[in-house]
Amino acid sequence: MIDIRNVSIPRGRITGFIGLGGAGRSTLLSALFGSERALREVSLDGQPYDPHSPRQAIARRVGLVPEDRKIQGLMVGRSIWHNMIIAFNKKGFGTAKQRSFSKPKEIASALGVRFHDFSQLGGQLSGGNQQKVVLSKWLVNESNVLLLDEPTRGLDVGAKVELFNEVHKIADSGAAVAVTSSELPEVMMHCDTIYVLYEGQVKEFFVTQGLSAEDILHVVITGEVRNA
Amino acid sequence: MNTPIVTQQPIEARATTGLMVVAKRYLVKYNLLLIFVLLCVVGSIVSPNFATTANISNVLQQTSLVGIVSIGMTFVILTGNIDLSVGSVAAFAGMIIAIFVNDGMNLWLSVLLGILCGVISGAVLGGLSAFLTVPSFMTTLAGLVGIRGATYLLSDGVPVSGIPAVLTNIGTGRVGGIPDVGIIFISIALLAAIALRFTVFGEHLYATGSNEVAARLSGVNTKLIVASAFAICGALAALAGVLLTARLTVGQPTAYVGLELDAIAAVVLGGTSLFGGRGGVFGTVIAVFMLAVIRNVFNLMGLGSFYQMVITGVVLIIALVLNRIAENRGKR
Repeated sequence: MIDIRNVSIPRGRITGFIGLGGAGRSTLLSALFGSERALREVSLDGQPYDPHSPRQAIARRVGLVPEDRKIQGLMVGRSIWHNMIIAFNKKGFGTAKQRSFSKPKEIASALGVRFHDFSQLGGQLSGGNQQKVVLSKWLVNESNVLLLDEPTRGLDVGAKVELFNEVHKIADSGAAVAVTSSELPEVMMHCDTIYVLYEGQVKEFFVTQGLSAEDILHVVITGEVRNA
Repeated sequence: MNTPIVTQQPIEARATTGLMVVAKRYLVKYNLLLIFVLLCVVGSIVSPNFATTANISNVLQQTSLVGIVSIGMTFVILTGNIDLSVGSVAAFAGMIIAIFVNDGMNLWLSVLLGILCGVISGAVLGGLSAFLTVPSFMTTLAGLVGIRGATYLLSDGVPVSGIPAVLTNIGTGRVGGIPDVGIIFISIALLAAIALRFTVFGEHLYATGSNEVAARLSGVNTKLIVASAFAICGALAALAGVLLTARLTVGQPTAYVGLELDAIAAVVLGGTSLFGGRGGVFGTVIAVFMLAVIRNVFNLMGLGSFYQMVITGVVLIIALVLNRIAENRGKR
């Protein structure tokens, strides 16, 4: 059970959520994506937002890049193409394949996803490229609220930087981005604001300007704000 | 922070063009078709009666009903599930239309109701599995036993006759040498292939089978997709039951015992993964024909059904092994 209040995720910014394992980071994002049952009083663009399933969240242009890439994010046995258009498919006859052929291509090249051709299986890509494909899924769908749950987990250093470069671009284009991470330096470097979660509650709120890692870390670990 | 990363050119691990490579790729993809063609060649060598129109028409007649069920089974297996109830559902539908018609109901209405029974049983058994996350193996096993029992109850265990000629003509009739049931089978196969390839439903079906969690988190209503796949399978099983009643001219309560195993064998032999997400109708159709041709060749050679069973088992294993070898080669 987590109890999160007074969190806002502004557009055009990257908002970070940091905490120890089990602090409720993933649960928070799942609740915002409608994949976990929750009591919500959330507003999105001034409208009430209460998704009871991922489908409803996606309809409001919210997208989740889940924590476990290969189990929750990517269909490793499906082609890159199918992975990219899966969220875009709407009801009706004729798949997205016929209806918007150019879009995945544009997004794949904008994100710099490296692959031979679209028919390659998702599982054959490197971790960083897999994560980009999962991210592309939401860009193809024109989602403008992105929830990234530990997006750099298991990626090598270069891939991490590259992924965050893209995330910055997405935020700059006006999307609201929420990122969870267990790595403080990463969050401090890339996020505009940081929420510290401790045992299911928001303990502290930081604007990443001129603050010490120690202060944040203290809250992360003890749940108490250090009095200077 | 915004350091550009030097884009590396992907390393070409293997040539993607060239005649040999293309040929190899097709060989891997259509290896089952190749085995099937080889089998036909062998068949026409060992038996002069094999490659005659009458014989081929016969094979089509015999195999179409199992084929129709196998197409339905393909949908279910593509979602990573299994339907053991098809044999019982087919027998039930075949029986209930015989009873309806005997009670004086309009023939086409009773056919429609028979197929509706299949849809309902599929949707209920599949829906139970999907919405309560019970293994479909168990829910449909319950269906296998329960629905067969219901069929015996309906008929007191004896065949029901009195099927009008309009229907029996469909079961045994031919148009220009091609059996009616064969035309129905091929049309359904084409429709199924179109549904799987060119509709959002097909897209979502493959996604569900490939990775159910990822599909759900991408907005696919995976439970509804699974239940629909079972409903389609039930409908096609019921249709096969109706067509068998048409061919036998009686509703037979013992019809189609063990049909589920024939259908599953055909689907898996056709290259559809039991774990879901991979495969298709084309492979199933080839596999259905392949099994039928094996049986047919043995019949023509005058070998008894005991031999046929043993050899069918052996061929199944050989084909599966070859399939897997080719697949592993192709994957690399």
